[in-house]
Amino acid sequence: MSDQEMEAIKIESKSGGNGVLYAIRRITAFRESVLLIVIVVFAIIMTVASPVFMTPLNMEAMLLALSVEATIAVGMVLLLISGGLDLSVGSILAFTGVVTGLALTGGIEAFPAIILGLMAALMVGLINGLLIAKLKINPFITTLGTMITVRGLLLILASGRAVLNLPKSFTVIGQGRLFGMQYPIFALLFLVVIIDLLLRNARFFRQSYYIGGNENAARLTGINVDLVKIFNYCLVAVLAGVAGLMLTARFGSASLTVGSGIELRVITACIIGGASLSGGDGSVLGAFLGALFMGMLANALNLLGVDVYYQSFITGLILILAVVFDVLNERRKASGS
Amino acid sequence: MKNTKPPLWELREISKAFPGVQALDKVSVSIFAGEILALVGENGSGKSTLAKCLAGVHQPESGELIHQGEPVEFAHPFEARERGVATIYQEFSLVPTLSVAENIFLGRYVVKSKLTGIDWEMMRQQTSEILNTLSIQFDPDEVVRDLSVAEQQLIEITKAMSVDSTLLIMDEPTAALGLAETRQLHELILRLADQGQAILYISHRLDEIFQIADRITVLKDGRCIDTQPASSLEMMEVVRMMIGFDIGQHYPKEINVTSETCLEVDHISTETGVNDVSFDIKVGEVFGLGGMVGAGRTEIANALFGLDRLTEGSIKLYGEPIQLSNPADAIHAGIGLVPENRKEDGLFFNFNGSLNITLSRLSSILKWGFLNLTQEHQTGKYYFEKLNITSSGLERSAQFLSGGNQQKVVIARWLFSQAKLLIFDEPTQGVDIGAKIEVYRVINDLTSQGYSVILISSDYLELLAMSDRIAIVRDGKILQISPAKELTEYELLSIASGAEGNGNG
Repeated sequence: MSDQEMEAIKIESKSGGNGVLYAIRRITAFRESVLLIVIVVFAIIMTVASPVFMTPLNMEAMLLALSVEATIAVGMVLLLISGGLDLSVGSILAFTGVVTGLALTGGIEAFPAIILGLMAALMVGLINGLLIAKLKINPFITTLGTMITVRGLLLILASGRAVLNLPKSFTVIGQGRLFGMQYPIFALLFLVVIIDLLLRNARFFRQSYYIGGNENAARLTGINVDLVKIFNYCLVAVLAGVAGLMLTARFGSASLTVGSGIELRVITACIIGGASLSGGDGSVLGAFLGALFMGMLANALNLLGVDVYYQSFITGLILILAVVFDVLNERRKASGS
Repeated sequence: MKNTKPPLWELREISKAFPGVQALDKVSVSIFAGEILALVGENGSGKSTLAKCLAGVHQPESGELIHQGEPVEFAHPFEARERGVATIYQEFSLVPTLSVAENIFLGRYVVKSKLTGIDWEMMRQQTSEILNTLSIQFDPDEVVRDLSVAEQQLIEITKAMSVDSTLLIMDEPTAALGLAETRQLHELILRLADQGQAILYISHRLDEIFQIADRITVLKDGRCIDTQPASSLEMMEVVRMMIGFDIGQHYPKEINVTSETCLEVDHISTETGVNDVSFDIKVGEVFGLGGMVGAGRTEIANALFGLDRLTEGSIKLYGEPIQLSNPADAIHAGIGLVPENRKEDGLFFNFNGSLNITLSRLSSILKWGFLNLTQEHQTGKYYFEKLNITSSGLERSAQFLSGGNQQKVVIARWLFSQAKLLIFDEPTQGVDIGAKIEVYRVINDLTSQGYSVILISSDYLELLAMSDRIAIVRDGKILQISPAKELTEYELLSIASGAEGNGNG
């Protein structure tokens, strides 16, 4: 296309009302809208059913509880979109806490200790990314391996004991407040907004969709597939690290078992939010809404005094329903052709 | 001659409708033992539906299936099998990790006794016997995964033939095959017909139909236009019947060569087998690469697209030397590749048209450093109009587009990337005649606008008709470059296959 034609298109896109509508339609994809409506209806029902639900204290507790999963989901969804998967996020989360905790108890200042912890997380992400992108090892196997290895490594480092009595200068990041809300909630909302915008509008992040959609075609269109993959594994690892730091700071101690099983809950949230294990689909907003929904469900069941065992039962049911919904929707679209 | 005998199968006024489309409308066809009946028509003309009615996959709504004078109804494919109807679909049904013998006997293993289990020896022996009667050389113990696509195709046929069958239905059997393998397959089909098999052969490739078919049935929009002996038909007549109007010329070639040089390839070699290859391409030229599958044509294309590193030689584009270490370099320099396998290497099936086009140059739709989604949509719209692509594909995923339109989306991607040289690797494989002509028209438009084209095709008629010059490739070398007008199909074939070299030294 010549530059003049390009200009013509630019001018048309500025003036075209259709274009704006198109942009709005893109941001609120079908799945996200449905999920949002479900969440709002659910919240209204809960407000009626329980006087405690809509109180600031309960809202804060709920958001704080889901901030760990949601923070990781922001990165995990990017990985799922590019056709990848990371099972090691729970281990990375605990590892980051332990490394930072040990650094703090060893006399290192809070800021460098945090950097050290995040570097440790980044290293694991880098190893995952290199093994998967360069050696073409299956992501499931690779991250299953690092999940077990890293969990072992942190047990060795901490000699099997939780790291206790962390200094105030550190715990403030998990316990401090801004406008009456704790920092981790702000961190989460910040990450959701930023990474959602990047994924929708930044050229580098867009490449993940192409890789997940068709890796060969992406490679043949000049996309540096390996680089994007490695970046994504590093990003999810760092986000797991951030979640680990916030959790450690909130508790004031680095637990060794924290984060076990979180990887599956995170993946569940992403899939409820519209991501697919076959890649090419999903959004950060969707993943966040998925995590919000799961967090709200847990909170609601608690308030209503429902046995905790039902939580897993219902979450599983919702996951299956979401996937069935997708399949039926695909069929409907296909038969409409 | 054959028609004096009663038909093996008679299909009388078969109708079948799917939601929104009358797939078959009172189609009547007879099939005789020992004949090859070709079924031709554009995509959506009802060829596959008719075959599936005969194979028991679909149940016709009205009409009769008559087997040797006896009306039959099939509720299920295995009932058709019992009547001797064997079908080979486009997708293979082989299990890649099992051996040839295991695949052939899949689901009906011969059991010796309850105690000793499966009688492998017997199965191996029987497999060898079947392979022998078909004159195919294979080790029954060979694992299917290790065979080439063509060999797997032969196993697929063997499997179909291993159960007593009198009618073999083949739906696009050569879609994945090169010329040599196609010939091997045709020899087998002719042999089977000689042995008294009836064969219903569905294909897009008219040239091969004229090589093997006894009679040709043309379908259009679910109706049977005509059935005639192949010897009494001209290819152009068949095309006219298929598309319903006279296209004037099957290959609408325009000559747009200029004197300016676009690409200069100077003595390049690669580790993948390209051996000291040199040629140059003029602006507006269609440069054909001819040769057998595996001769090195795709490898030359890969070297030009930065997929394989050069071990020797150099490449210049518009007089500027270019270094290609990956596809991004090639794209940046102005080269685009329309890959052979649209489904695996070309298209993003779940993404809409705009997303499929803009990725080749996302940098040009940035605003304040971010992607301008509105502009992206407009860009898609622009190219859909420019290349005459069904506009519904702009919003819906590319999987719902026809093969020809999908191909045009891939081409649009390279127009957007500002490529100047486009490499087409088998651009018309698996698309119907109407879409083929569309692709040829796009090639004409491109060359008239100053683009240059490298055309790789196993369809030799197409290659001869659409190229300005043709380089014949064998064993990674270019044997000769000559104007397409001065070559005949016979010369091209004999040089490419090496037949000439053996005869004349």
